[in-house]
Parts: sequence; C-alpha cells; structure tokens
Amino acid sequence: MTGFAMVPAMSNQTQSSVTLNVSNLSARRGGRTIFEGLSFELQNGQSMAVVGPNGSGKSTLLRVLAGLLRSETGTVQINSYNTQDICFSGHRDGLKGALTVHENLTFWANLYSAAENAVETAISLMALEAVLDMPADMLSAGWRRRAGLARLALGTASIWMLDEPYTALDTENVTRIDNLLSAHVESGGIALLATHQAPGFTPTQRIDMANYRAKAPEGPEMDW
Amino acid sequence: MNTFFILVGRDLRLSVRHRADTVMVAGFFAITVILFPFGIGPEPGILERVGAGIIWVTALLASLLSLDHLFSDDEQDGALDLLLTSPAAPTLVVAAKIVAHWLTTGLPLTLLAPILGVTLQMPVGSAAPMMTALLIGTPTLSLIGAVGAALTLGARRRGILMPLVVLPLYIPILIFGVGAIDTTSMGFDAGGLFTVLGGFLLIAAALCPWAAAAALKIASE
Repeated sequence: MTGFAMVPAMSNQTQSSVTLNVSNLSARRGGRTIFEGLSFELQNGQSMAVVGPNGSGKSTLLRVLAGLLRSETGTVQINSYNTQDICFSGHRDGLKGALTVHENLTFWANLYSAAENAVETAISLMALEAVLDMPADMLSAGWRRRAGLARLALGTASIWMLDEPYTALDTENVTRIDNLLSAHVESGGIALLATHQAPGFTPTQRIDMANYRAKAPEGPEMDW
Repeated sequence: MNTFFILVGRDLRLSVRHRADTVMVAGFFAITVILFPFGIGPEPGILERVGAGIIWVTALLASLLSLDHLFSDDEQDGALDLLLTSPAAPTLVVAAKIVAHWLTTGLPLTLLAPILGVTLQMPVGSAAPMMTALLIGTPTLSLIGAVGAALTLGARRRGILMPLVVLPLYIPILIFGVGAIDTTSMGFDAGGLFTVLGGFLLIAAALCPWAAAAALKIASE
C-alpha cells in the first residue's frame, strides 16, 4: 500500500501518544530509486538524526514524511493528538522578502493558531529583536535562517522535520536551535533532523541513509 | 474560514508591497486598449463595433500576465512547501490565492474598463453591462488560470506554456462576455448571457480550487 494513513486522535488519548511509524518505505525520483526498505518508529520524546553522504536521500526522506513527495512503496503513519501534526523546515526558509520579520512570524502564528504571546516567545528564543522591522529580503543568510526557524517555536506541531537546520548558523545560534530541539523533545514531541553536522543535543536514534541505498543503481549519482 | 482570511490577507499585503505589479497589469491593459484606435483609425462605427471584443481580449491577456507568479513566488522561496505542510488544507490555500489574484487583477481591470471604453467610442450605455460582464467573468479567469499556473509550475518556458494551456479554456468566457455587452448595447435583453457567465463562474469555483491543489501537489514533487 502506498500513501499516508492519518489515524485520528482518540478521545481518551493523552498528550503522550505521538507516534511516527514508517514501514518499508522507498522513494523514486527522476526514475532512480533513492532509498528502499526503510522502516523505523519514533514515539513521543524521541528524536532521530538522518545522516548519510550527499545524494543518499536525506532530503527526499523528510519530504516524503512531510507528505510533499509520494513514496514508491511503504506507509507513513502519523498518530498525533494535535490539529497540526508536523512542522517542516526545508533548505529554503519560506520567508516573504517584502514582509518584515515580524509580519512573517505573525502570519505563521495566525495560520498555526498559535497562542497569543507565541510570536514574542519565538522572537526572544531566537534573539530576533534587532531585525524585527527589517524586510526579510535585507537579512543575511544566518539571520534569515534564524527568522525561518523561529517558526518552529510558533506552532503546536508534535513532529518537527528539519532539513539541514544548522546551515549558515554560527555556534551561538546552533546552540539556540539545540535548545529549541531539546525543549521540544522533552515536552513529548518528535524531532527528525537531516544534517551533516553533529547536533549539540543527542538524538535518541540515528539512521544512516547509506544503508538503504537501492541495490542496483540505475543511473549516475546525483545530488538531490 | 478564519484561515482563509489570514491567507488572503497575506497575499494582499504582499501585493501592496509589490504594488508595481498591479499597476503594471492595469497599465498593460490600458495601453494595449489605447493602441487599437491608433491601429484601426478613428472612423466612427468600426471601433464601436469591435470595442467589447478588444476590452475582453485585452483583459484576458492582462489577467494572464500576473498568473505567472501566482504560485511561483511561493515555490521559489520555499513558502509553498510550508503552506502545503501547514494545518491549512491545500484547496483553501489555492482558493485564497485565487481570491487575492482577482482582487489585485480582475477588480482593477473591471473598474478601468468603462474609462477605456470611451477611447473605443463605445456608447455610454455600454459601461454598465461591460462592468457587470467583467465582474462575473474575471473571477472565472482567475480560477481557470490558477489551474494552468499550478500545472505549469516548475516547467521550463512556463511563460509560453501557460498561455497555451489557459487561453483555449478562456474562449467560452470571451464569447459570452462579448455577447452580453453587445446584446445589451443593441438594446436587447442579455439576461440569459449573463446567467451563462454566472454559470461558468459557479462551475469554475466548484472545480478549479480542487484541480489546482491537485496539480500543485504533483508540481511540487
């Protein structure tokens, strides 16, 4: 069976019943099987580092899990108590250049139906006070990333999927992301992060995409 | 519903920041219409006869111009991925973008049309049916155009491909839109033609957001 099964939250479930269940997942892009036979399960409070060389399918895996790409085989089952299941963060930050940082964050906060002071909390967590009224176009790569990742603190999503979150960040801000991640995991969330860098906090699990490479490569290596 | 207004509000805010885009579309519409009196000549009767057609064809092209970045802006900065993984349903995201597109394209064109009708020597009495026809017809253009924009998202040479996909689908609206204006100017009752235009709008509103959301899903892969 291919596709996604969303299991609706049961009324008697508590906040501790978040699971992400992946079985026998494989994905194809451009006629080439990127990975196959991937299975894992994550429960509340668990986190996973997705590692592997370039082109091994880290980004593809996260996009499949987020529902942005179709899987070739296998199932992804998300069991969550929240209206917002996942919060995805890709290579690009999704900031609108013409809007200020504050306007960008307010938009996502409204869309995520975040609590009233969520924007202020996110701003102080990522120390964005200095650039609040600047259009996102004017920001440097590092500031953009910080403003983009501040979105994580706005939502109530139980599963975070972060693709290379540490790109362009200095050590101080890497720590900020690590703190954000540990707080999320400690409060019962699930975090997946695809990264080359070793994160400052220790993910409970680790998956090496090199182990799930398709048996017979059909084409030249390409960096997806 | 609240989510819908949040999404429309964001796109409207963005088009206020990029207001040159809206002004350029309206400017394209005005200049193209004004070219016709120069090209055809000022003889009475001719312009008056073809005026409704000129207004409609130019409105189709102008609305097409801004469809190009209906989804591509959000696709390029990654916002589309975030919108599609957000709690908002993809159909709702698309519907909000269509409404915002019409408010920044179809509505200004509708308001501008009677003024341009004067340069085409159209009778004063044709202003009301022209605005009514455009008011009912231009939302359909945005709806159909969104499907085309979603289908061609990420395609090479999108600027040429999209008109090829969308313009044939605009033909029925053109026929009934021009017919409604001309019939009324000639003094006949065009209620039936306006009703058909309204019917197109309802069908498009019922189908296009879903079709565009499905196309977007495929294109974002």
